[in-house]
Amino acid sequence: MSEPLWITSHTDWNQDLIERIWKEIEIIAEEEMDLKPGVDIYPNSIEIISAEQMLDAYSSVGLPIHYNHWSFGKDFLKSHRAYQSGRQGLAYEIVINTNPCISYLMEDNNMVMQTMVMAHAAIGHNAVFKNNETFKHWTNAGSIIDYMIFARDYIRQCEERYGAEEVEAVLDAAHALAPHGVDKFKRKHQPRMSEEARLIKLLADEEIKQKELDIIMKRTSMQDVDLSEHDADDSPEEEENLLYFIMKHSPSLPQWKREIIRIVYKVNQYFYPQGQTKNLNEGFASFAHYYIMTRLEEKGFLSSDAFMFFLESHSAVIYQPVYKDRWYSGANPYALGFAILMDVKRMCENPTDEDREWFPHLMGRRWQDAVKEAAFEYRDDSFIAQWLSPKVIRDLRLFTISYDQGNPEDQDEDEDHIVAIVSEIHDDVGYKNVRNALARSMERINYVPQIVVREADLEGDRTLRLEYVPYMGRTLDLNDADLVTDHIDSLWGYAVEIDC
Amino acid sequence: MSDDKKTSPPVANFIFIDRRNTGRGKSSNNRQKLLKRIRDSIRNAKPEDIDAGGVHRAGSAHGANSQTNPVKVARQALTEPTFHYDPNSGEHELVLIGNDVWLKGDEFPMSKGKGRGKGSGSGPGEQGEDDFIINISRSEFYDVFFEDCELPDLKETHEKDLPEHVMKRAGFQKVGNPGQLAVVRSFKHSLARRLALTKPSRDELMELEDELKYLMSDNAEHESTDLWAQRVLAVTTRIAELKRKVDGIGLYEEVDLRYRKTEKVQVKASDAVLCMLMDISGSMDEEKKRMARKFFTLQYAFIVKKYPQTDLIFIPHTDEAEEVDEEEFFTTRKSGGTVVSPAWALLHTIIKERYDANQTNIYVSYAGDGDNWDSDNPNVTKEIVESGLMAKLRHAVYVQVGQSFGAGYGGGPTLWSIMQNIASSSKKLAMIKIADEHAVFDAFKTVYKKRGGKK
Repeated sequence: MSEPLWITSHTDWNQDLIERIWKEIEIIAEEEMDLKPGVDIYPNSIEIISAEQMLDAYSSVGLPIHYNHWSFGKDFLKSHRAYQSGRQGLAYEIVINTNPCISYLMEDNNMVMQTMVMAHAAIGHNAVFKNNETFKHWTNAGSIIDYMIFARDYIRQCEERYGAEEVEAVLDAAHALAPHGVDKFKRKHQPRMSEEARLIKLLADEEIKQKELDIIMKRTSMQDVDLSEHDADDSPEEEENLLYFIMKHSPSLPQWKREIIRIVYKVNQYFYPQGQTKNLNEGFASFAHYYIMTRLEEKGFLSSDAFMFFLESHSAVIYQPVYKDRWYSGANPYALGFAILMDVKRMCENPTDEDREWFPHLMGRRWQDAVKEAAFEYRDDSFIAQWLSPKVIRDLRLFTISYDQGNPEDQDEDEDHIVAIVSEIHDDVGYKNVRNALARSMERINYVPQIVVREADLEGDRTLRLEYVPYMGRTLDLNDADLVTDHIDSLWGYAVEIDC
Repeated sequence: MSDDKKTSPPVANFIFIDRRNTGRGKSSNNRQKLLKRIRDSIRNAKPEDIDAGGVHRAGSAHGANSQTNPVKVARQALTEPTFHYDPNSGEHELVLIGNDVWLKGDEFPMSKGKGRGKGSGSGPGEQGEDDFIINISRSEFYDVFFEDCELPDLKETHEKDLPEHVMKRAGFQKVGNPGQLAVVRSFKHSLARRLALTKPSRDELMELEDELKYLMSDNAEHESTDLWAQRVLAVTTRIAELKRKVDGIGLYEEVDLRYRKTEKVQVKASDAVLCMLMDISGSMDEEKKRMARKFFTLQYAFIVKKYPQTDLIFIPHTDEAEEVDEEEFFTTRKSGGTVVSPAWALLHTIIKERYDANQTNIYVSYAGDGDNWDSDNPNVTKEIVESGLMAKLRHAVYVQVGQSFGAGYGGGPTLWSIMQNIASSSKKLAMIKIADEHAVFDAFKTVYKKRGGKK
């Protein structure tokens, strides 16, 4: 009989402890949160890494395998500098949307932290990856690693064949268009995921990889071979996915460059859901770690000083500065998501008259069902529009301000004051409007302008005409727009005009 | 127990992997690509990018106050542009957190520009402004910049490439290698921390132990009653609990540890001296001085790479010469005639007074617009060559800036031809003309370019 499981704030982690506490975590997740291992969550791969490896992982955007590009080196240096100068601590974990779901845990964490991090990532994020509609719709957790192996090798081979500089130029250009390289709606003819996954699985097999890769290289270096997305029914006009459009219609691009663009487009599409679900994803993961850690303490696996230690980390994670603070930068997704989900649970268990009026459908409902619905069937904007309660609006003391700066060219250079008006506050008349405003602020259009293909004269002089679709009277940063246009130029090969 | 651990089957749906010894340096390839990009952009840097803002600062990475003075380069090469809104345009609606005083309809103060007020409401996934610049120190910058340059290697004199250092104790620090651990100092911190953390528990522990002693003594009443037994049980349990708590506090925590700090102190006084001579008479306008300054700056940075302790001597001259500080050297302008030889004479005096030419690497640069009083030209040769000055120098550069003067006023030899004469008999003197500011860098490279095939 082994010793009882007992974790204090001074317990160092070891494999045995991690495996034993994981069993307890699983029991709580299954019995109390309705998250059945193997059904509601992917199998987990818990991997211990060093600080240096964590920095490495940052620079490949969390993917364990990525093609090489200087910008990832820049990201590495950026976080490395910040870390070394003490301006930034390292994350306790990084979790990847794969099957099995990989969680990287820092070796420096003590046992309390490892426990918290497993509850957070290996239960919380994992369940969102597996069940959230946005993820189910857009990502294929089972094939991403194999695809990245293919992408890395393919780009390496292109470097050998066509020169590193040529490849870099294509990647630079494709990266500049990355925000405009996602599909927001399914295409009529979606690439055959299963077929592709099969091919790529094949590639992952070391022995035949090289041969298969050669075949693909050969295939893609020949002109006039259709990529699977080449469907005749897409009309060029109004296309918002510029990467896709260029890959498909560029009059001058060799096939291998098209394949590289396709890789950037695929990687982008894979990350698209993460940007759409930050609040609910971090919210649910924090909800999970908070619930599980509390229960572990109640069940006698954590000492009280371990629990104090946990609470300290927990409050740092969900710390929300207010607008007056110097380090304020909007809502902390951990804080906002956690507050919303905790309140959903409270409303199921201890509703007030206000809750009965606002959330009649929660009355008498099991909190497990309600919380899972909130975390799995929405994305940030709809999640907030649907589930942000008046109590949370009051607790956070949310308010909205509005202002109009007009066109920068008409502005007085010396005038640096903006007239902003407080438009709504946390009172009876304001709740709905504050909630809608916060939901709107989560929409992608707020930070990625909409650029569409207006015309591509494929039969004539082949000029590509793009157009910025105005939003809220805002204009584009013309300087950067010029630089991006140069990049588009290099891919398109003929004149590119943009109507800002 | 350990046996059944080894044979126990893996936990279902759960894999544990210790990755620490595998897959290190994954991003090294990316970093190499980044470095290459930076190097390429530095190598193609324009002269405007390297205005060093002063000779002293150019080499300050090696100086006593070795504050790195970052050079901002490669910004263009490292930007990753995207389509984004001009933050100063259009309508905005922000949701802020922490309303303390605001009512609906209030005017909310905000300022324009970078901050966009307090509430630049960063939405989910917002990229933020990309104002990351690779800041490299000047010495790193010059490493690349001077990659294909070398000091003309005339003869191996008494140079010592490596200055001598001694290690000196310099207090304590929080990081270090185990060999430097200061045990006593660390223990003091540990003691203080443990005392502070366990104080309440120890107080209670002492009281309880006293009580237990009393309970077990003959004086205690109700010896056999249930109440007594309950109390004894409660007290012993609590004592055990407190003991565990006190013992659970680690002897050493990361925060306690202190390491001995040592500092490298340079003992050697000076390896090299760079003497800068410049014509500051009326004909040397701001533009010409800027060219000279730029050349001097590059030269200093270059020499300092080889000799960390490099002295500087500034000698401006009109028809007379004096030694000044850097500030004055580049800012004063005097009118009057132009007589070159006194500057060289003064230089020779200074060198004789302060330096042992056998021990110090002496470099001299002269910058002027080629103007000299005709009758002084013979004196120049005398002061430089015949006096024995040239023999003491390691290398000298004559820089002529601006549009050069044709012939001397009286039809005699120009300063340029005088210097040419000297150069033809001594390989130590290099001569260049710099017509405009953009040519400074190329001129520098002609002087110091690596000569292939040389041993």
